[in-house]
Amino acid sequence: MDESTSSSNNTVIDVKHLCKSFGDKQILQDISFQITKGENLVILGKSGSGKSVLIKCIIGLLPIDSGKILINNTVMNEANLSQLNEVRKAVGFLFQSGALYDSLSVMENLVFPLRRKAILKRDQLLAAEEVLKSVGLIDIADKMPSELSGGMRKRLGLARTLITKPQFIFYDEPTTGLDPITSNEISELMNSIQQQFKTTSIIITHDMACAHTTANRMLVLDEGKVLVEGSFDELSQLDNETVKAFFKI
Amino acid sequence: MIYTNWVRQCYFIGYNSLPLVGITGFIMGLVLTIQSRPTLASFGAESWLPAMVSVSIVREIGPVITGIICAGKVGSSIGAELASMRVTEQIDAMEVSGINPFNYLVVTRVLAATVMLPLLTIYSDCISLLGSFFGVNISGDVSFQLYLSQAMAELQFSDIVPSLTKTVFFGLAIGLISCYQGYTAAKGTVGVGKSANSSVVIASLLIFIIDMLAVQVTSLFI
Repeated sequence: MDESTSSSNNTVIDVKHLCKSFGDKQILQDISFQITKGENLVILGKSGSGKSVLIKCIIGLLPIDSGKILINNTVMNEANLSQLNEVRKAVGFLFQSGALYDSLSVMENLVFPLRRKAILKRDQLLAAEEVLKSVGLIDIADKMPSELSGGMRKRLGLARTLITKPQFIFYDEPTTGLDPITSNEISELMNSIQQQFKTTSIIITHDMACAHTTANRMLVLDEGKVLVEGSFDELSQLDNETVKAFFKI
Repeated sequence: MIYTNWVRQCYFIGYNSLPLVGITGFIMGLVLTIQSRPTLASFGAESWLPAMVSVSIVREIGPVITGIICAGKVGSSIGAELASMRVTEQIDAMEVSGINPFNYLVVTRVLAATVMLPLLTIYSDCISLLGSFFGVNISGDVSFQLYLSQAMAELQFSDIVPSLTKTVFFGLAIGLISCYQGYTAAKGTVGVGKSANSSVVIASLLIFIIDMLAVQVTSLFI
């Protein structure tokens, strides 16, 4: 299942001619892009443009119709469950809703991903305290997710993502539903995580402030196709109506 | 990790159902005794009351009532919980963490329901007999020892084993149906309600079907 097909030695995620449909509806059409190590790629697009489907296809949560997805040279769409799990050990995923386990406390949520690893409980708790500090949440370890605000839930989701020390982080709408101040704090936090942990990230968003803060490179999806690709500054100067609409916001 | 979750599910399904199963069992035993007394008395067979009630409870009423109560309480709870986890992406989050959500969520719940139903039925049968004892003593004066000896006199091994065996299948049906309904839920909060509802309806119906089959199979051997 391993392939050395990357066009550059630094390419860690390679998506080739990806197509995905639900029934008769074509969601993604011939999507291709690469991400190099340590890069933050922001994928921008309107609601319903297939951004979340794309990220779920990349991590193997949704099967694809055709194309190829490589993460660390492992072909994700041909991998079996154990191979997928091996790749997923290196991946953290921040879901749009946070996807916190309602029936578990904050601390139990944090140590949950560590349960599959042979780590002493004391070390698990130390790791949890460390990530709680890194996202600016302390003294909430015994609370339940339902007692937290939207911003705190996002931070907790981020902390749970970080606890496994991932090489890749996929963010699905990390600032959606948050006020501008909290959104900005989350965006800054994502940047500091990239610098501190040297992670490679895919950030799905339609929040331009978040994109501006976090993007090394941007890709705009429109009706399931890649419309344009480039840096924030390059895209801001493009004479394309769809792209311009985002920058007007 | 899976064993710990299985123990937790046994606690939720078994221990947390004790009050409801106990109260219902007590009332069933009491009511059955009070309702049956006049008919038996008209034939001068009042002394058969403990034996008749114990056979009815152990063979049929205890298992079916326990099954129906658990289909309502446990089935709806599992269906709604898993459906809610599905629509809020918690199951996806588990999968991305490299933890097999099927083993962690489904297998543990199905096994817990399968193990706990027979135990709850035994508990329900005992409490029903206690309720029946109180029913007998409403208009009589029978000691507990005498009641118990009369109740047990007509109970055979062939009454107890098939009735407990079918509760294993009741538990399996409740676990499988509610987990399937919850795990495959879709369409947001509407899907959660739908999953909880269909878990209860289908599991309850299956309990009666299994009961009917169990009676047919048992009658071949006894």
